[in-house]
Amino acid sequence: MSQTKPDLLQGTLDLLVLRVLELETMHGWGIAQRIQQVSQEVLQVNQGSLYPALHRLEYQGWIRSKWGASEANRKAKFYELTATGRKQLLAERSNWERYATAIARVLRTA
Amino acid sequence: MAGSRFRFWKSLFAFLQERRLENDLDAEVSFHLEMQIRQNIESGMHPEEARYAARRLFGGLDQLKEQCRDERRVNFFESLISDIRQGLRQLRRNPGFTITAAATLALGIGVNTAIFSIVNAALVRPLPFADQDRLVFVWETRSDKSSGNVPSAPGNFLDWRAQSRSLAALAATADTEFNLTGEQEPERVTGGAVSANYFDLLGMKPALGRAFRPDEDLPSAAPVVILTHGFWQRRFGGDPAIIGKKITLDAKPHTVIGVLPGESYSGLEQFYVPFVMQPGAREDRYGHWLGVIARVQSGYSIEQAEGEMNLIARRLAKDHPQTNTGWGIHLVRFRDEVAGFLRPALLLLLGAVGFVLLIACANVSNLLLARAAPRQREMAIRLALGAGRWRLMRQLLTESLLLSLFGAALGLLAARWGLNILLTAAPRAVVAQFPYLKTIPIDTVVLSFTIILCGLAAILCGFTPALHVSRRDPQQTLQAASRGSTMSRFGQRVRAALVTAELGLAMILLVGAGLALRSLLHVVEVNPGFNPDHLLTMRISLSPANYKERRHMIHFHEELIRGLRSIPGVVNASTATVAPLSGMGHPSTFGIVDRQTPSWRAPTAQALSIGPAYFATMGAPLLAGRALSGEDTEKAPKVALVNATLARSFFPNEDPIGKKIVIWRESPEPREIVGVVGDLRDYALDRPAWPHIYLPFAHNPQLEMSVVMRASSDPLRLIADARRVIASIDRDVPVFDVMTMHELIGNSPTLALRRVPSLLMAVLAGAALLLAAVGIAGVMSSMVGQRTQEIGIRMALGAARSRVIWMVLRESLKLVSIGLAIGLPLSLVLTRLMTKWLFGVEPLDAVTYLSVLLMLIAVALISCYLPARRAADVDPMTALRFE
Repeated sequence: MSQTKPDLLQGTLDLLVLRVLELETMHGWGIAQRIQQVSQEVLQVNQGSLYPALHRLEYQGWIRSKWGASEANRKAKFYELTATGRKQLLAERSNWERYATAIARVLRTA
Repeated sequence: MAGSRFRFWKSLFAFLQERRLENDLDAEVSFHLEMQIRQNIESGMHPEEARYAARRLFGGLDQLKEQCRDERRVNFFESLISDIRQGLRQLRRNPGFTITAAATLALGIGVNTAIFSIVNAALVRPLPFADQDRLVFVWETRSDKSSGNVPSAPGNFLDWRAQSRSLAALAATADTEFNLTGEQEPERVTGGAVSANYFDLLGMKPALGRAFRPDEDLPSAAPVVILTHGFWQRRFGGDPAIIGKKITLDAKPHTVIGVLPGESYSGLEQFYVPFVMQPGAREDRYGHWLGVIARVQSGYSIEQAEGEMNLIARRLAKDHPQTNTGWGIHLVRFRDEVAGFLRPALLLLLGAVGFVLLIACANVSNLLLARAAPRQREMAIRLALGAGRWRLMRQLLTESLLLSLFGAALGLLAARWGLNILLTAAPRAVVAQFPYLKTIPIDTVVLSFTIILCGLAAILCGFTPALHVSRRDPQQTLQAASRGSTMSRFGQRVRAALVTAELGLAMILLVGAGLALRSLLHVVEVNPGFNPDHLLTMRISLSPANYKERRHMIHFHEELIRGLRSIPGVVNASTATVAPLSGMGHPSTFGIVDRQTPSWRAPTAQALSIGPAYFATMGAPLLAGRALSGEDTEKAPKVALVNATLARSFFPNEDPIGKKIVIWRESPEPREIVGVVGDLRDYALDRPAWPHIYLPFAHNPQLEMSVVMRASSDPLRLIADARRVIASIDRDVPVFDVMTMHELIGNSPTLALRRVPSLLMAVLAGAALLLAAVGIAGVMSSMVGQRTQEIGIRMALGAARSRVIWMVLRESLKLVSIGLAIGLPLSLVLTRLMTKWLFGVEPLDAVTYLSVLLMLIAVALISCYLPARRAADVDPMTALRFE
């Protein structure tokens, strides 16, 4: 029933969100902007997958949310990393790095 | 993962907070859109276009929400709710089915809840005592195990109290009775005489006033009394200013110093007085008549304490070889002592109600399966459309859970109601032994038990239907359903298996109940040794203050007998210290003159004082010698009668008449045996008679006695006249426990304790039989429905009605015989557990087994009658067009 384009590898979005939140507490819009900016517009975050991902991560207990005021003084929902989320990020990050190196190695040599 | 534990609650929370979360999400999304629009405008778009682009980028809002909900597992609860809704709809749609199933489960859960709440009250619920696991009863026992637990001798008690380290405190108790006189009618009141530290030891505090002071059990102390709540309410109208007032007990004023709280542990006791150790008691090691309770010192186990007490007992035996040789000590946990005697009956009933629940579940499961047949199409279509099997199973289990919940709710009500009935029927003896059975609460322990049962019942009932669904291949089912066949072979077989299991279980219950009932009948039919018809009994008691000398008692007794015999309609009248089967006794050790028996080996007999013509009044035979009569006056030579048991055990090859015996409790004077009388059952109908010695009242007057009167017609008509006669001799003598001999026997503790559980067993077995009958009728009628076509063909080909009926009956007999084949070996094994219960029947009693077999076969045939008739009434033409 999902019509979202597979713009990011399954699971990668979670990793990126966790990474962004590691640096600072941020609302959904900001997270999407940050990922696009840092990736120099290579990675487009589809809103249709961002919010389910945020709900999923919150349900897993890796992030938590609270309402606060945005830069423009608008009411916005801010997400922050929890302690277990920090551990999860560490684990997923090393997983990802192993995976990326493996792929790179295959591309180089095979 | 740390969060996993909370996820369920998070989902539940999310589900309950759905509206709020949705609003949150709306707010979040609109913020996001606003930011996007602003960015679009900044990059040069027209505001209208900017808004549109932002929307487009976002995609479908509803889908987003749905996805977020999925991520939070909210949908699990939603589908659960829809399962419950659908289940309720199903149940509402078939009220007949729902009521039958819920009532069946209510029966199963109700009887379990009721019996368990008694178990809880008697064996589980804590007693209201401080540190109850350290409270023990202290009993003396013969080291050679020739006696049970025997009360303690006062001298021994005093030594234990002085020497024991492992018992922190010891208190003596004895039953006591007083004549309460005053402004109101005189009354005989029962109470406890207890050591001053008794209440302290139990951790009980009076609600009003105070407990006994340490010096109040000394002979010099002023007499004081503590009232129980019930007695205070009944006799003194709950007078709040009772403390400090004086009441007259046995013509002696006693100051009321306290009133116990309503919840206190008292059986038939109405008051407590200090137990005063008489100066001579220190030397008394013969008489075993003192109840002793104690608290085990912390740091000692009960076994260690018993070990230490036995060391003390051995030391005492060395110091007092005459009296103490061969005596040891046994400590019994308080709860085991007061409730242990209920344990066998309760466990038996608990097993029986467990079987009833199993049968009820099998029945409901059967009903659910039967109902699953017409719904197979629905299930198959849902399966074909992609519904998970688990999802379908869950729905069926939800339905059976709903049924169980209804059943449990009804069952709780039924249990409450049934318990009230049971409590009013509870034997007085049980209440006396275990006062906490006066109220049987349905507390949290019982409720948790019921909830667990409810879940168990849901699984048991829903298991086979769910399994049935999950096994089916949707394609086959659809095909079968379109052909009109209503139930799979697997379903039929499961239903048949369930019915045979029901029959097997019902058989076990019937055999158990049959054995219990036959034992009860045997007990009731035991010849008590006298003729109980037209006998009236009552107890009277003389105040020691008014009858200080023997001649006063003897005079009263003579007047009494004369007065009673002069009442018109009285055939005969006499007295005995205690009436047979009243649950009371008057034991004493005795010796046979000219026989070398060490005194510590002195045998025990019931030594009763009787009025003239006692045995003639009772209708009991004189076997040898002469009876006692009015000639045996105070001055006449000392004589005694013995019963057949005593004659047989102590004079096996001799004629007891002319031999001399000594009753130690009374006086060392020898008494000559002048006659042998038949045994009267004394303590219980199902136990052999004790050795008895009967003495003339004039030789051995007692303050308390039972009056027996034989009437020419209805004995109850004599009551008013008897009371009048007694009051005319002494108006301060209370008359109590007035009843016919048949009532007295019916109330005897052992009979009551046998009757109530036996009748309950019979009721439970009857319920089980009814359930099994309903089960087999259901299966048979669905079989007939299924084979309508076949039956039609047979009949079209010329089969007679009788053959068709026989076909159905044969089918049901097949199920019965399989059920019996399962039930028989199980019954043989399980009824062994109730050997203790049996009286006059063997566990393999052929009569019981045969009647159960016949009863089950008969019930199976009767319950198949309707389905068989329906089969025989099948019209071949209709049946063949049925397709």
